[in-house]
Amino acid sequence: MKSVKVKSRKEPFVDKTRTKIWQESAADPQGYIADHACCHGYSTQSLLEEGYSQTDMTFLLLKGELPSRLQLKLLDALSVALCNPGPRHPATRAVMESAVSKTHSHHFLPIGLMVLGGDKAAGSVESVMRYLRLNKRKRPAELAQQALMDYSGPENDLEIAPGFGPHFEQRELYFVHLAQSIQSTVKGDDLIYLNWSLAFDESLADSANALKATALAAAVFLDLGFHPRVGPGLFQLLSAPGLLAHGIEMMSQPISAMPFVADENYHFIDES
Amino acid sequence: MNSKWDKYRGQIYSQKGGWTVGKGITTHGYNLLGEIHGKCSMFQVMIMNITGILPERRLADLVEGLFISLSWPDPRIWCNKMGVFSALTGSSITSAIATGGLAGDSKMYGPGTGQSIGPFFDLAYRSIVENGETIESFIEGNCYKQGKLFAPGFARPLAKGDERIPAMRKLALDLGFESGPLENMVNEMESYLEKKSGEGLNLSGYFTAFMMDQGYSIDEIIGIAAFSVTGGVYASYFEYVNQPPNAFLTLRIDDIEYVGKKARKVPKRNK
Repeated sequence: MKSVKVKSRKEPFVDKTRTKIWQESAADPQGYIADHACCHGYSTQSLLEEGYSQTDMTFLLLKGELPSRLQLKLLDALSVALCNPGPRHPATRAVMESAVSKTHSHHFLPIGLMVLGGDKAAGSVESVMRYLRLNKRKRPAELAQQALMDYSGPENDLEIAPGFGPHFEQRELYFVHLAQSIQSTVKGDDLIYLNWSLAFDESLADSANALKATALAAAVFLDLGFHPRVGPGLFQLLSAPGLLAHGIEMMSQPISAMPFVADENYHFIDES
Repeated sequence: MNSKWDKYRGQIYSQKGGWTVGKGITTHGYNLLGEIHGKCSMFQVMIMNITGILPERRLADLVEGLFISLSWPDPRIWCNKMGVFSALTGSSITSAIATGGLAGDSKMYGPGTGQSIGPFFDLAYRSIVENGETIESFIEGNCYKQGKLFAPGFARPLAKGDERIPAMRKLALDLGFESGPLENMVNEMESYLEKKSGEGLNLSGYFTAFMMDQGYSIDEIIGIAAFSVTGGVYASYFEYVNQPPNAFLTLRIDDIEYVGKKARKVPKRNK
């Protein structure tokens, strides 16, 4: 039997973890106790006293600078649009089922966010952002026309383009309406990706495809200057309040408060 | 000035073992690849990694029996639904197993119930076996809240009786285990409850009693059973991973009954 000799690569690892995000100030001579912290150079105490919001802090943490008035308005608007995937979404259903069957309440968000993280949900936001970046100089109507020619059909909710597709094999306008509201409320000239995405959606109007939550988020994230790799996690973060709320609502209900399919409605299919 | 925490800065102290590059992997004093691999079962290794002691093969086989008895490929079971929902959104199988494990960390069913079973069995043992209280007196005095049975380790959702317990008892017998004092006590409690209300021991109750008799702590027992629900999650995930996106208990909008406030005007925001 051939043996394998294992040798260390002796890679030069750093001595310390580095971060540009957070700086704590030590209050004790040993250096374990903090009495002050700065986020990208701003004192957290001062940020709090000046009335900065959670949206401000999310932007500051991820971008390193506080948002402009327009950026704050845009991210706030998207936060409202994405605040709840709704009780029919698999991620919310997972949380509700877990809550009613009495898992711990601190598991609600991890469960919901992991289910939401799939590559047909939040996990796809990065690829949607890359698609929008790649195509932003193309005319939306022409690109849509080409996509429609290549499209095999809405069966199984197949997306015509990343972030644009059917729901129950039909055109659903819920997120289109929200995107239009953001467009008209924020009214910025810098909404390049959101404007492009809505124009692309308009060109799909005669098909079963529409702008979905992932495309709305991707467009706004790009207009805010976020890198595509930030997209999935930020989508999860903005969807978290609804997931948590549905879990909290169900946690004190008896297990019978959600449907359970009776044996007569459970069908065994012979695999042979 | 030194702090007692300074010794942990940049240093790891492990009683478990570890990997020394070029020399091998040590686990609890054994060479993992030389002495354990190919000679012990995965369940023996898992129990050793929790407790620090390599158990007999037959005990590991009994734990494997627990995992098998929980491996229902039925997506109606709550932890298994995590597998289905993960498949529907395109989450990875690893994510599905993790969410299934978290759902099973429940106060109502599955391995999470060990948190309440352990202290309850301790109390029952002290009262009944050590202090001579009768089964009837203990149950009537400790197992009802507002007239409803509240006895961790007994009863289960959806059904009365637990078909998994005879299978586990037979396996234990086949493996040469005799029932210990705690298991004997819970069996007597079960007889009383069965006569009174038709309720019996549940699988977690049986397993906890058996393992406590074997000398394991409740934390170790919960650790050993932590991911025992995963067999069913695997099945549910892989049944739905290639299914149409809305093919699991499809919900129309009116399948959700809204019982909240009626639609109302959004107030003007002070800017």
